[in-house]
Amino acid sequence: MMSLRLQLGIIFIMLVVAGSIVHFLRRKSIDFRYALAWLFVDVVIIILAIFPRAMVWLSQILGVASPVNMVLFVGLCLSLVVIFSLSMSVSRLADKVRKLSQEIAIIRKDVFDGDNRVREEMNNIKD
Amino acid sequence: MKKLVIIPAFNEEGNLEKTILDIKENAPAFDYVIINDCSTDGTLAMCRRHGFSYLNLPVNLGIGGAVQTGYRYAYYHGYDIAVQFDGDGQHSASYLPEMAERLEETGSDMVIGSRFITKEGFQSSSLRRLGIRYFTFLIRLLTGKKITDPTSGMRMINRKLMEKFTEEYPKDYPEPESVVTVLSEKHRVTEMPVIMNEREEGSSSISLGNGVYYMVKVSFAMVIARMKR
Repeated sequence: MMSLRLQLGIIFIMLVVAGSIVHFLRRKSIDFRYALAWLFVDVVIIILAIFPRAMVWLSQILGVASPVNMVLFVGLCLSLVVIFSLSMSVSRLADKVRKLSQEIAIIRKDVFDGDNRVREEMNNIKD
Repeated sequence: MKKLVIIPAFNEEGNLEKTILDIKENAPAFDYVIINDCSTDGTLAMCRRHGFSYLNLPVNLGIGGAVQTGYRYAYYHGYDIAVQFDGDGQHSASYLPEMAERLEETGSDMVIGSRFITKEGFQSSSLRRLGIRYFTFLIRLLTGKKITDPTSGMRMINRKLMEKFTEEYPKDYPEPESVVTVLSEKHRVTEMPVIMNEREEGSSSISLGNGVYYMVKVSFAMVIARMKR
């Protein structure tokens, strides 16, 4: 079984983490979408720390010897989900950057060519 | 008929002038645009000095993103035909008018300039040829069509594919993958024999070190491209 000290320790750390997520949310350093994912991980770990029996039950089903290892395992799995979702959003961002860069390059050329056309027309008027 | 030559350029200071001269002399009906993909040499300065037509990418996008910029430009400006053309002296502009004729006459959506039909000119190293033959095999397996030179960087497309490539184009090593996509969607691809030269300056983007990554990535991308439809 988990010691009370470990339970309280985990809960304390997770509360600090939850507090900092809210802090970063208020400072707009993190999007709601990602903050929610992290808070979800946080809350799941807190619930498991409060009800270690759920873990004992789960660890028996999955054949994990120690419930503490179960906490770490669940935390790791949820972290992997968050990291994977980050890979996806980085890919989407890269696509957007690519499209924007291309548009910028094209617009710059159009403006430049347009300028020349305007200049030529002006010169013709002078003559 | 508005026709555009797209020349992706990353550090091509040494070859670019000759390439542009080649196009102006041997394919006068074609407009051209250089895509400077954040070159670190004097490519941009040279484009300005000579008054070349160029697009300057604000961030480095790699070969796929650079070529796609050209297709996007061609599509926005109402070109009927766009052709990718390497700026490193490998390709000869004298083939471009004939490629355009073939595109129209055969009603194809893409014409690829192939080194391996008449097997003349620079044939690449034997290891590279082996890789290319493997791609030919994989394309045949996936689509049932025979493409002798799936890695050829000399490819001409019509407006239909321009629109498609503007929406979606692979980021790196785009040629074999996009051929599979195009064939899977029942577009028509023809090949035309061309003679290519050995590059005069610069080196291939594919070395022995990243060759394994290249083969795995492209194979995987080709299978995924086939699965999309």
